[in-house]
Amino acid sequence: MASRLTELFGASRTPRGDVALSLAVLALAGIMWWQALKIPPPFFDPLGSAVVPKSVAIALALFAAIMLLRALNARPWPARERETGYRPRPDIAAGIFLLAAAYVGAMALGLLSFEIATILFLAAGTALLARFERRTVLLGAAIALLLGIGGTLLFTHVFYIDLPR
Amino acid sequence: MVTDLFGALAYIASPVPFFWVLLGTTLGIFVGAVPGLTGGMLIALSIPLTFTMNSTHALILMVAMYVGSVSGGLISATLLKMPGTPSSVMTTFDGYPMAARGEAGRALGLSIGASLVGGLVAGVFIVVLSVPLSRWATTFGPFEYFAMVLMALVLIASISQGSMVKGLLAGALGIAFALPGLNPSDGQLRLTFGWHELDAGFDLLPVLLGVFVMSQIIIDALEIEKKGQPISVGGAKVLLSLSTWRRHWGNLLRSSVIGTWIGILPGVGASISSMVAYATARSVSKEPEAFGTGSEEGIVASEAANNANVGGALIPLITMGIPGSPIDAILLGALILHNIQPGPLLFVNNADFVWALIAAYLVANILMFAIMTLCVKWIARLMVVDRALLLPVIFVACVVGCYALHNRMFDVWVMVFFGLVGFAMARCKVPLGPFVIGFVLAGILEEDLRSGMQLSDAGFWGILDRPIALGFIAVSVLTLIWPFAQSALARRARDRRAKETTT
Amino acid sequence: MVRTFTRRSALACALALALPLPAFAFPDQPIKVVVPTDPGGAIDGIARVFQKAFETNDFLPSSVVVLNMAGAGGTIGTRAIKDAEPDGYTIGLWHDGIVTSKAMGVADFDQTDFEIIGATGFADLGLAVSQKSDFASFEDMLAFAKENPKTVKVAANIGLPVHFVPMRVATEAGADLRYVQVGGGAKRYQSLLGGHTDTALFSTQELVQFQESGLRPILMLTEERVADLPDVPTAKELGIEVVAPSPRIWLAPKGTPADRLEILRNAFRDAMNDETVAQQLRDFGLNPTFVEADAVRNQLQVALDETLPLVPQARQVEK
Repeated sequence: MASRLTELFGASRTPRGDVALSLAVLALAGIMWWQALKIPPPFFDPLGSAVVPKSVAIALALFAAIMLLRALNARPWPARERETGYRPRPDIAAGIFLLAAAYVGAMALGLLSFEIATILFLAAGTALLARFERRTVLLGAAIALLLGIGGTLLFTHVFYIDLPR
Repeated sequence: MVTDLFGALAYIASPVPFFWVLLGTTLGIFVGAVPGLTGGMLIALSIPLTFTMNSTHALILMVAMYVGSVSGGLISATLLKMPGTPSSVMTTFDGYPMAARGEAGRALGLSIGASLVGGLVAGVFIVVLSVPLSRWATTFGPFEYFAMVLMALVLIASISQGSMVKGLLAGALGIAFALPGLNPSDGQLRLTFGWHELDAGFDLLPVLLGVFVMSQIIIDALEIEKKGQPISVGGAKVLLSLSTWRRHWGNLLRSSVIGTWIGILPGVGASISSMVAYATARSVSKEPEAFGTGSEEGIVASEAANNANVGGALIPLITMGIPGSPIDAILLGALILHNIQPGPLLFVNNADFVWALIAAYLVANILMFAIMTLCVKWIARLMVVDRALLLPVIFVACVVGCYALHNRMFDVWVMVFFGLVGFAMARCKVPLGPFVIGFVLAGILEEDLRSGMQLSDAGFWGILDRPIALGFIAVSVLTLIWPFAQSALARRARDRRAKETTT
Repeated sequence: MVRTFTRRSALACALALALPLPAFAFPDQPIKVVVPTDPGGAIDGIARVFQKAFETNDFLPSSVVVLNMAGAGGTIGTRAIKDAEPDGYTIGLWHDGIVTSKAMGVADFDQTDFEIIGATGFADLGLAVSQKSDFASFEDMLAFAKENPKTVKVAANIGLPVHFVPMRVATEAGADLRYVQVGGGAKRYQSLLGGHTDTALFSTQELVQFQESGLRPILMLTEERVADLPDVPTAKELGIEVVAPSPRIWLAPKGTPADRLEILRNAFRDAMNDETVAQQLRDFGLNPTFVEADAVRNQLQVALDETLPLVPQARQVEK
């Protein structure tokens, strides 16, 4: 039986990521099912509003289970693949994400105006991505000032877009 | 039909529309050429900036960007060995080796010319097929739309790169994220956790900007040390002689038709077109061993197909309101934001608008050819622009675009959240295409299923009276079963062979 | 939300002390008009008439942007109007569905949760079939429906007049029809044309417009025959006592300052006095006089009283 399943669904080539992914998807399916239970019964059409969310939750759980199976089929797991040709920088990726979140957060809480927050974010973001290489940092700061002030004027006076206050 | 087309071409030739097409094509080529920037990114970002524009101008701008971006990728694919856009992956296999042995100009010339032919062949199909297809589609009822969307999701999920289960998972995730909020069939709130900001659900634009732009920013940051040294084009001639083209005409035509037809399949994008055309060209080639080492045929097949795909994918969008590729899902969002009702009646109610889009598509292909032929050397220099300077600016544009939608920070947070979702999916090798298509089409899927079930006492089994809908369902089921059937057949053949050898 | 509100009002107070009044001239930015249907229907058309009027004349110092938010019988759009910042910069256009949606259970709010700016006239309603339909007249359809209960399909939009008014006609005439969720005017038109449903309710303007492109009006729900459709009988002529005028109501979020509402009302009154606008509204089958908020409220009460008895029947699955 087990070998039949193995043969049917095959094995994963990225088992580690797949295990994490299928667990996350299972959790999401569970939350969806739980929320779908609260939807009132149909009153106008035969299907009602709960059937589609419940079916999607079942489908998600099913796909997650297949992925988990494929990951288990891949045992023993191969060694992690290394990117060739360049060094990945998870620290910079996390940094730019946190910086972006801080930028949005500062405006959402009303701590900084769009203009100021944008200038700071652009300067800091460029510095981080340039790995604090001096020439780019200075260039980035200049661009930040230019775009922060010019962009605010452009968006409010040319495109009539409201900016976060 | 022909008069409509010429009227629209004359319209595009007038100064203001021509300016937008020129701008769109140029910007498209640029983002296509810079690795890490994609056409999806550019088009999603330009939606908020075109809120206040005339809707025809906005959409012809975006169509031109689409054409430009799919073509621009060939420059970095050839000179940097990095696909500038996902659709030019196949071009790297032969374009780069050819450039590396000193034939950069010829490789570029072949790519650019093939792109033009692919685009124009697809253009012919658009002009010929659109009106009859949209007429046919007016007979589609709720069950036909339900079944067609189901088929689109299954097709794209199973043809996407990677494993089929991940494609299906991506589609289901897209639908799942489209469900929260008021549902359009009976107004009940669902899956909102009592959180009123979610009452209207996740808006299309923040989701698109999140998965196409924000996630790409994180990926680019992760790969910030990936840099290439472009091969110099030198003084080589990019414009090739007619005799060269005469040698390739069969391949050109075949690849363009493959690209167009795969484009018409709802949901399937340009990268798959170029893969299929490349594989076909290799299997019929007289020198298949040259593929991957700088084969001219490989370059021609890949680039003709990916540009033809753009045109093919526009066909279901303008005739039925079903996106033919992930980027068309963005265009569909742009149509809705510009208050144009997509669907088969688009040709009845907004015929001028549709013909303007078709004309813009054709003109953009010709402009693309002119710009690339004349300026390829300059673009090659621009394409190594420092991403450290670009990415933060792009993020700011995303924030402004999301905020401008409803003047609320919630949409900006949605964009950031879907940036993480998109990044996680990319890391786990879950394709983004089915996710976006699922998200965009979930509404049609559910609404039409529920309307269809109200139509008869038989409920869902009313679908048995609808042959077209049953046809779509049959295609979906076959697509799902095919890989299993294939492996079962292979196993049986293997067993039989094993038995023969033992006897 | 609370935080931005207090910040903004604090700023407003500070500015009010520091600056002379003209700095507050309302409106000084574009006004968003939420239309709870797809583009192309009757409500959308009226919103665009006023958008154009405000753009080309100086009834209002700033321009108007139309936002379509369709779905769930218009409640997605009306909810967006209700929840918008009450600063006069977001308003919306809807009809008497505002009361029937709550009665049906599709929305948990009604007209009392809004400020009513007024109505730009009443629209007449009527039923239509496709020109390819087997039913040559309303009597044909009625006779068939009486013999075959629940087979004649009505393209409806849940909880709205296009759902309840055909139901009133059918109940009065003693027939039982089948109601299918289809959506706004453009979608109902498409559904009839494709032969998926048999009949649907439209406004006079839609009837006149779609008559040229494939629909056949068969019954008007008016006191007298409509000038634009002289051959179409009224329900009254056939002994069915249903007259259903539908007001086109402009709504603003609850708490919008009275002076801003008054500025908007004046703009609408001025616009409707303009002959081009009045003519365009007449083309839409509307009587171009501004209906004051109190009159609108009375009309909505009438609509609610007529609808409530039908609700148990409309919630068709429970039975």
